[in-house]
Amino acid sequence: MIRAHRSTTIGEVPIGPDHPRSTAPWATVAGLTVLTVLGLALWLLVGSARGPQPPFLGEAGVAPIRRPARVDALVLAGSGSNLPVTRALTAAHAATGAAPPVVHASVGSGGGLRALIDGAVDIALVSRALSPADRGAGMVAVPYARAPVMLAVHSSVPERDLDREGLLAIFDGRRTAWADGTPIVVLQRERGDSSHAAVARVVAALADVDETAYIARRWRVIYDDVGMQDAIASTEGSIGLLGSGSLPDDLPIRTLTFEGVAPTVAALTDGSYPLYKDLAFVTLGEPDARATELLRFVFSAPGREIIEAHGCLPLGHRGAEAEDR
Amino acid sequence: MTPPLVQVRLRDYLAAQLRPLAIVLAAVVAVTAPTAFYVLGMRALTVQAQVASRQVGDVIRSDVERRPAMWKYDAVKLIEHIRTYELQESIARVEVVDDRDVPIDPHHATALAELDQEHLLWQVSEVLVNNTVVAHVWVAMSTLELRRQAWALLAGFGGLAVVLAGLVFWLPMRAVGRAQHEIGALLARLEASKAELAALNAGLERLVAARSSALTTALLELQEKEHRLRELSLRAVEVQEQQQRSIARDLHDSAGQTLTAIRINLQLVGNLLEQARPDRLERCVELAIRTTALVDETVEEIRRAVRSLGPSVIEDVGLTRALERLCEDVEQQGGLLVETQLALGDRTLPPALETTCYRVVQEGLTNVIRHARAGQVSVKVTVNTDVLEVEVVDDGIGLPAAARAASNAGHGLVGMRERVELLGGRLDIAPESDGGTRLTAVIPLRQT
Ligand SMILES: Nc1ncnc2c1ncn2[C@@H]1O[C@H](COP(=O)(O)OP(=O)(O)O)[C@@H](O)[C@H]1O
Ligand SMILES: [Mg+2]
Repeated sequence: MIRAHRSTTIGEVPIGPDHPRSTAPWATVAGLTVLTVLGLALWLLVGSARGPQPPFLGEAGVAPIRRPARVDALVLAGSGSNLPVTRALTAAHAATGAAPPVVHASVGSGGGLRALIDGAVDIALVSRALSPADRGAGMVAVPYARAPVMLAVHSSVPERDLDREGLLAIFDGRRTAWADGTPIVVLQRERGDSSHAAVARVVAALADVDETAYIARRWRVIYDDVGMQDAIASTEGSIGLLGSGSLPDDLPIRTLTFEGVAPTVAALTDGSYPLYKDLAFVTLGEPDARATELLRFVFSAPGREIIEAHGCLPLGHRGAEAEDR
Repeated sequence: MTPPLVQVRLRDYLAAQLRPLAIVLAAVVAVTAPTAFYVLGMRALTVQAQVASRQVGDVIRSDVERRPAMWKYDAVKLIEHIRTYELQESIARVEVVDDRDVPIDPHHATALAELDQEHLLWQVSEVLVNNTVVAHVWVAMSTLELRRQAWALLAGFGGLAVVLAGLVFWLPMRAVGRAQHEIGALLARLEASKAELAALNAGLERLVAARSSALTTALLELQEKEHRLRELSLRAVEVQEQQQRSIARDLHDSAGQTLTAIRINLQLVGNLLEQARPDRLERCVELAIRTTALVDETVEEIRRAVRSLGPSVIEDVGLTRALERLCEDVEQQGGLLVETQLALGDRTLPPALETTCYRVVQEGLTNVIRHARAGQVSVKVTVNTDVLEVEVVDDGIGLPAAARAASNAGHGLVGMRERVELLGGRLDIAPESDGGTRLTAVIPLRQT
């Protein structure tokens, strides 16, 4: 009995070490699973990275300019600083019997120049100097007024004067309150604004200060003169740069003197107020007949009066030449 | 089969099963989460880009509605503002193109050149004014950060996958290794106990053999003793028979002869007295005659006693003749027909056997006369090669029910049975199917 038991060895049956065949299909299944997982992942990765491609990335050149159908009237557009005095000039010119031109709301100096290139306007209103590239494109600038860049504050601000250091301290964020303790609210124009550029010509450090503030997003940024006027008028303790030469009477806005000098035409004339920019008409090529007619009025005595009435210094061709230099 | 061999193979087997599992696990763990993260992240970026482009599109549309001719010159500042202040950091670029697909930002080429186009995901939305497409807003999301995070996640989950796969592989392997160690120990113990069991078995077998040989010896001894006992009994019976025979012979030879002489003498006395006084003589004669009768009776009695004591007649005339005489006697005395059939052959039978045979027939016939009320009885004695068979069959009234039980049997049958069994034979009495009784005895010729 016991001898018979001995013939069935225990190691063979239940522990099952003799099944090499059973691992082969399993390994295949496992390999296929891994491949499937990897393939699926790759498919998802590639599929998810797809998106439409913008047309302007390609090498294909810009489509030819399609000039809009022109109206007979002279079309002007450009910097907001130019607008008050320019509108006064065109209105007065129209009053003399000329065809009334279209003066668009502010698109900025750059916008005016692009519209000029596109043929959307006849005259671009520009409050900064033309770049060599602009001139290379055939643009001709005719400066007609020098507008003071005003340090404008809300009428609640107790102070009357700022010097370079004071200006930098405020725009730099080092000084945060007016003399009476009111918090200073700096309102900044956008990068490339002509008023800031004009002040930076005098207070060189302002360029860096401005850039730092842009990057840090330190101040509210306003995109045109009208917006700036509104912002200052509605914000207590605010300060900003205005480049249009005149202030509306009905808003609680004041100007500060810069190092003791007020932004008057006289101060511009004698050069004692250094913060200014020159307003110019820019045409593509030499001005045409209608533009020349407008220019003649602008440089006429009534025109110069209107310019002065708007707090700006009328410029002759000489002034423009000086500016170009 | 050795335990270590089993251990090695079992571990290998488990390893072959677990290795693909670990690899699958590693692949799934490593790939799934980063892939899902990347895909979902891309979806999120796409949605963000679409939302942003639609929001910018709304702003542009209101600008276009307000300034249909000049919007594209004014909107540059707006876009610049949006780029700088309104958008999330993940938005790499916002570009607005007019209806001719020309970007309204004059500096777009330089700005775009600074961007890594490889890692940009663009989405676009239309700006519709009066059902006319006036512009498209393109928004590019940077996928760089997402990719970096996905790579980091892949690295992390790769590590996790390696650890998990290692655990999945290593933990069962360790457990199986331990289990196998124990199995090996168990197998070794099993082997040891099997060896012990075998040794025990061998011992047991030896013991059984020893016991059975002892039993055989005892049995042989017992058989021998029984044999001797039977021999002793036989001898005792023979001695008894011999004694009985000698007594009978003495009785016959001495007392019988004497009585016969008495009888002769008495006859002579009677004869003499006849010639004397007639009156007295008359009584003498009478007496003598009466004495003679008495003597006759005595002689008959003695003869009967002698016959019952021992069949000396066997020695005198042989078994066959003795049986024939017995039957003749019975026929004469009992008044019934006795049929004999005796086939004893020439063999010399042991005296004890012959005596027993004779006695069985004698007792059987006596019982027939006494109890059976039979008209005929058949006696059959046969000697075969091995056995002697006796049969006494009558046509009488049959056995009474009480007599069948051995305990109720009379002394006659019991004595016969004892004699027969002493010789190793057997005796049976049974009713015949058609009435009557059959007595059978079978005795082996050679006593063991
Ligand atoms: N041949 C026979 N026929 C009928 N009855 C018999 C016969 N032989 C024996 N018996 C019965 O068996 C009984 C036992 O017989 P036995 O032992 O010889 O004793 P016994 O003869 O002294 O009565 C007898 O009493 C008788 O009743
Ligand atoms: Mg009897």
